[in-house]
Amino acid sequence: MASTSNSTSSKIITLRSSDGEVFEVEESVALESNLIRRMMEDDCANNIIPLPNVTAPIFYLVIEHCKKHAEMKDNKEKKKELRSQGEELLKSDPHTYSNLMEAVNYLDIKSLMDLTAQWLADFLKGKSPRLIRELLKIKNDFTPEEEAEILERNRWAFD
Amino acid sequence: MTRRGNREGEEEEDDLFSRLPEGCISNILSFTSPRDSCSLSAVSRLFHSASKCEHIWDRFVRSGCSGFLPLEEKLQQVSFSSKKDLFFLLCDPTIINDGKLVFNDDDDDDDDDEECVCFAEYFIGQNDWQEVLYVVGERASYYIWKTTTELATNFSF
Repeated sequence: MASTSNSTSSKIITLRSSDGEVFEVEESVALESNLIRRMMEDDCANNIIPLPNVTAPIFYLVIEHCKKHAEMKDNKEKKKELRSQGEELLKSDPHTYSNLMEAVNYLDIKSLMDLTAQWLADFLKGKSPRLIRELLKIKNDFTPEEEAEILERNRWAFD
Repeated sequence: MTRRGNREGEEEEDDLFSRLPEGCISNILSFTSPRDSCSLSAVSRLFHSASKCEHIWDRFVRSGCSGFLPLEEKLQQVSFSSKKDLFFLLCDPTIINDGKLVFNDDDDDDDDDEECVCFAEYFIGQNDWQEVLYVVGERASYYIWKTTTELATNFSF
């Protein structure tokens, strides 16, 4: 289950997901997470770091995005590729996408927080609230009166 | 590589994105536009609440968001006490002159003045960005700046 390392000199951090899977991750990748960074500063580095809020499939996804994000910095093609993969995931499996966002937020990975937010924002632009609820399976929790008031108040935004 | 998410609990399907913190939603909204942010506030309570976050308007101001803010260089001359005030200021660039508010006092139409005062009173008591944008969106902002200087002192620029 370990993420392989190309560099033998790179330090390996061991992490455990909420469903008990153990990951070995290069320190440079793990430190993208401010949560893990803080935990290591608190001297948890020699132990397995638990991640009680992240499941293994989602953690795989996070690591994959972290690595690709590092690669894309000077590479427009990689950037494009990562973006289209993100958009594809959002359209085909919004449930996983929301879990990814939740995990990235919990792990406090600023670069991926902005990246996933940007993709979702681009997806949301120009769409009606009703369509967004439908596509992203978001429950309308307004009362009819509240919804009518908000629609009226923001009428100009729907023209 | 495609991996499927955690599928346990079908009821979660109806609650997608609702577990995200409000700050996360407001971050998403800050990547849209003022118009989209107001439109998206009608999606759910979480989106509605997130759309009021100052962080969003901070970003819109900084980016000189299209459709609202035609100026950039004048920005440096303007003093303001909050991002809300700044965004407010930028909605009508004609009010800015050497960093001070300028009021058009050359309009002698009494009815129009009365209307201006009404708008100004409305805005002064308003702390809700949705309200502000609603009126700005109706292109009423022009009138607000035609009000008297007495009323203007109530703005905390």
